[in-house]
Formats: sequence, C-alpha cells, structure tokens
Amino acid sequence: MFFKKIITKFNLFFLLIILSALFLYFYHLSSNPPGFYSDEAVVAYNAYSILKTGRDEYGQLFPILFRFFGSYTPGLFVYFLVPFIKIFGLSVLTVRGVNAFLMILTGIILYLFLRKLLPQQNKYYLLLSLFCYYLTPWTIFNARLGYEVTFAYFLFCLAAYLLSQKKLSWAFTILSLSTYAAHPYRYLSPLIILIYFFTFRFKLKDFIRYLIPAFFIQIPHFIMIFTPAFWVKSSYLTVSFIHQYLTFFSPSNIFSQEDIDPQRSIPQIAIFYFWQFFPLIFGTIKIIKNRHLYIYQLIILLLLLSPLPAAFANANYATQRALAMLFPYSIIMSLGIIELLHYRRIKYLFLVIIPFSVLLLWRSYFVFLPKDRMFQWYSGLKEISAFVEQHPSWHFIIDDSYHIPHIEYLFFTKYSPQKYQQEKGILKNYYSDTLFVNSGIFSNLEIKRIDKLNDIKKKQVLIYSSFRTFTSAQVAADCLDKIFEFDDYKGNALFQGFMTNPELIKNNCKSESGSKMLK
Amino acid sequence: MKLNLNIFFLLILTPCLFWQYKTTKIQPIWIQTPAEYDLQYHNINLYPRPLLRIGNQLENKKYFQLFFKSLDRFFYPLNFNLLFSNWHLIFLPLFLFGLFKIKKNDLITLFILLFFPLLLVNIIGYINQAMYAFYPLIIWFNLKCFLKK
Repeated sequence: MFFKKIITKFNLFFLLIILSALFLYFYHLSSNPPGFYSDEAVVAYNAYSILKTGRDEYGQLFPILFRFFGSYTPGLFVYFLVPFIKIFGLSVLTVRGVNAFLMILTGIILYLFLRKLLPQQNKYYLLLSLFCYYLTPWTIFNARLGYEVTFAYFLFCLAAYLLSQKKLSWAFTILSLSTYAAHPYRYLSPLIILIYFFTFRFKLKDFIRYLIPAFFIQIPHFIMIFTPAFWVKSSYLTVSFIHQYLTFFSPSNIFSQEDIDPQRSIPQIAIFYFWQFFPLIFGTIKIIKNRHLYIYQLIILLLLLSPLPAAFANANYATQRALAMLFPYSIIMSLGIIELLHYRRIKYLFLVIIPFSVLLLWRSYFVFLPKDRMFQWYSGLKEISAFVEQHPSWHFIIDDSYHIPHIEYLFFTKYSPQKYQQEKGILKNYYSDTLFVNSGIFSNLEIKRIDKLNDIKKKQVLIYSSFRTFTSAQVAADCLDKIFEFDDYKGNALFQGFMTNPELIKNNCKSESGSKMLK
Repeated sequence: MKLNLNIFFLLILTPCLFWQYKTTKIQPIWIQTPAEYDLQYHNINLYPRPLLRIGNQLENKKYFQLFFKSLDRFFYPLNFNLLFSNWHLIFLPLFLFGLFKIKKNDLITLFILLFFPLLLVNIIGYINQAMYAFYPLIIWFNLKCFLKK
C-alpha cells in the first residue's frame, strides 16, 4: 500500500528526469572539462588545507576572505567543501561533483517555484520544463565546474523560492549568506533586499525585524570592510554600463553567441538553445500580462537586478558573473514552454526539439570541448605534477607566463599543507597584501618567468607552456634535452620539458644527447 | 487613427527594406566563405576516431551548415547594443514602455515589422551600415508609448 502510493507514474517520470540529469552532470566529470582550472584547484586545495590545519595555503587561521592569488574570494564554498573532501578525498570528482549535485537541487527549487506559480497546471508540463532546465547549456556548464559561483547560485535560487513563499526572514538570511559565497552576490544580495523593500512597500518596523538574522550574519563583513582585501574587486559606474547591462538581455548574446572567454563557455553553443527564444517571448508576454501579481513582480525584479554585478564589473558579457540570471530566465522560459504546450501541434514539436538539443549538446560539450579547450583548461598540468613528484631529486622550474602551476601541483600531488606552510612561511598582513603573486619556491619546484640565459647554466628541468616554445635549432644551440612534451589533439605542444646540460655548454654541446618522451 | 498608424508603418517598411538591401554587402546564405570551410574542417577533426564517420556525415551536411548560419543571421540583429548604439540609446526607454503597451490587435503589425527585416537579413546577410529595416519597428514602439496616453 505504501509503495503503491510512492510508485506513481508522476514520481517515476520525476525520478527519470533526476537520473538523466545525474547522468548528464556526472558523465566523465573528472575529465571533461579537460584539465582542472586554477580557480577550481585553489578552492579545493584551500579546503583541504583548512581540513588538515585549519589554515589556508598562506597560513591564515580560518580566513573570512580567502586570499587565493590576490582575489580575496568569499570563503563559504571553501568551508562547505571541507566535509566532502573529508569523506570522498581530494579529487576533481569531489569538487565538481558537489556543484553538480547542487545544480540538480536548483532544478528541484525551480520545480517548486513553478508549482507555487502555477498550482493548477498539468504537473507533466512542469516536469518537461524541469527537463529543459537541466538540459540548458548554461546549467550544464556550471554544474560541471568546481567554482564557488555555482554554490552561490544555489543559495540565490533558494532565497528566490523563499521570497516567493514570503518567508522573508529566511530569504534575507540566505541572501546574506550568499554574500560569503561569491563576489557578485556581495553586491547583488543587498541590492535585492533594498529594492524588494521599496517595491513591495513593507513597514519599516517589520522589515527591520526580518533583517535581524541577516544583519548578524554580516558582522564578519563589517569587520572586513575596513581592509583593502574587501575592496579588491570593487566596481564603479562607467559610461558603458548601460551597454554592458543590455548585452545580458540581447537575444543575439543569449541564443547565438558564446561567452567571449573560451574558458567560460562551451564551443559553438550559446548559453541557451536557439528554440528557447520562443518560450522566452511567450513567457515574457505572460509576465507582462500578470505584472500586477506579487510573484510575477518578483520574477521581473530578480531578472532586472541579477545582471547588475556583471554589468558593473566592466567585463563584456561575462556569463559567470551573471549566473543569477539563469533562474529568472528559466522561470520565464518554463512559463513560455507551458503556454506553448497548450497548442496541440506545438506539443509534438518538442519530440523533435529535445533530441535535437541533446545532439547539439553532445556535439559541443562532449565532442568539441574536451579537445578544443585543452589549453584554456590547463590540460597537462596533472601529468606534469606527477612527473615532478616522481623525480624528487631533480630541480624543476615551471614558466609562469600563462598558467598558475603551483596550485595545480599542490592539488594533484595532495601536497601536505603543513609542509607547504612551513616552506612558504606564514603571510603577514594577510588582508592588506593584495598583490597578485604567482611565483615561488617549494619542494623541488620553482615557479617564475624562466630566464633562459642564466637558467641553462644550472642542472635542472625547464618546463615551458605553449606560449614559449622552441624550435629544434634553438634547443640544440642551448644544449637542452627534451625530456617530455604534452601535446594537444593537433600535435601542438602544450608543455615542453627540457633538461639543461651546463657541462656541455662549455664544450659547445659536443656530446650525444638522448631524449625520452613522456606519453 | 490606430489602423492608419499601422498602415503608415507598414508603408515605410518597404523603402526601409529596399534601403537595407541596397546598402548591404550581399552574402547569400547558401554560399560558404573560406572561413566557414575552415571551421567545418576544424570541427570534423575534433571528433574522436570511433565517431569520425558520424562527425564527417554530420558536419558535411549542407543543411546542418545552413541551419547554423541562418541562426547566426537571425539573432545577429536582435542585439540591443546594435539597435540602440550611440545616441539611439535614447529610444530604448520608449521602446520598452511601448513593449509593455502592446495589445492583442497590435500583434499582426508587430509580426510584419519584425518578420520581414529578419527574413531579409537572413537571406542577404548583415554586413551594412545600419539596421535600416528595423527602424520602423523601433519608431512604432516609441510612438505607441505616446499615442496610447
């Protein structure tokens, strides 16, 4: 009897959608996107360091803002990762898997929001909207990354749902927490609370009552506000602000063009599928029609405010900074999809559109991305880290012209945080020393801009990225032995490792040099 | 008055479409440029060896290429920064107010004013000085904002 109640046709469909999302988000998660970007590695290693020592990589005890490379990122995601790293270990799968799981939860929040919005609607139509949300390129891309923005986006969705339920105290508390999750939310969340107050005209007394928990959560920020670290990513209003703001609403950007940064986009696909333009139109019409209702006003408010941090940031069409837009956009598109499903002929069109979307996604994400974006995702640093670890008696210099290799090495080798902190020393003036630092010496590794004239005079291994490669004639002239090369799919070198031969330089390289290749 | 306004705008649409046609460096959608050939070749090479055959068939399909090209051309002009570039930005608030004032009766005019310019851009391409064909649409929205009051 109990099972009969649970095993309904609807529940089975719901489960099927969740399972397909799980498959989509976890399939080859540790190898696609290829490599592990430094912004992911730095979050993961600092969580590992907090777990082992209670301090971050610079030796700061439980920081509020994590220095990372000088970006002073809000640290809630780092602390959130700690128990997962304790249970599942430090790996690419753990870090990305947490976000994949959170993104699935945002889908469930979206479904609940839609249920609140359209209580009389056919539940299967809502399920189809949920499936389209899971299938959206913007959702998939951010679900499969280990960035803090996905965690902040989850908090934002939760707050939006609580706002729709008019549980204001809880909503403001979550919004307040999200300011500790990612930079854009530090501006967005207070703005939402403020505009919400003016739009829905609450009594000041009630409003203050709702704000009390949110206010107490902000106490660490009030302490931080007088330090330079708090203002590292501060923005200012520019003339181009309106144009940047409009980019997030232009159909050409959201349905046709990819993000300008190849590391933040899927090749040859925009953040939404082309066909989602039509649900957006229908959904917008519905929103405009019902604009006098509270919940529709809330959607408009969220949509108009969410790109503001990205527009202020002076970056052209940075989709990661405007990730909060995904939620209001998805609600509007879901409304449009549900409207369209009322037309019988269009209903059957979805039988073609969804498989075609899966084809486009497979082509761009699972075929193009792993090869086309190897360079942008720091492919090869895992292998190099293993190689460096296998040769503890050799001295290595890695060129810092593009990558941030130290954090990748720490992550992939699970370098002891205690040992690293001892070797590097504890950073004084943690919250005021805001300079970007990439170079450093620890273990048998040195990270700096390679000075070829001087560095070839010592016996060591020089590792260059593809920004600085050499012809075979140059290699021969400097008496270097190529000991490994890591290539992309075209055969172009992503990394090259050379063993120096200072003793041969004196004899004009007169000796046979062998070479072995690392595969 | 309303009907006359709609007819008036449909009438100015014709010279605007003509002007757009005359000022555009025509690039027929069915002719592939060298850059597009390069991209096609690049894409085929990205398929892993077991899927190379499928990739070859998919990427070499003329309709598949035409589909992506027409998508680009369809969405290219739907860019607020292009339509409201520089001083044209002053039309934007009125455009948005006009958008909120759309009634069911206006939908046919809206469809015609949007559809024909988009169709033209799709066929001949978008390399020209301005999006002339979209001006009636923008001015229509702006005027609607005032006239309804």
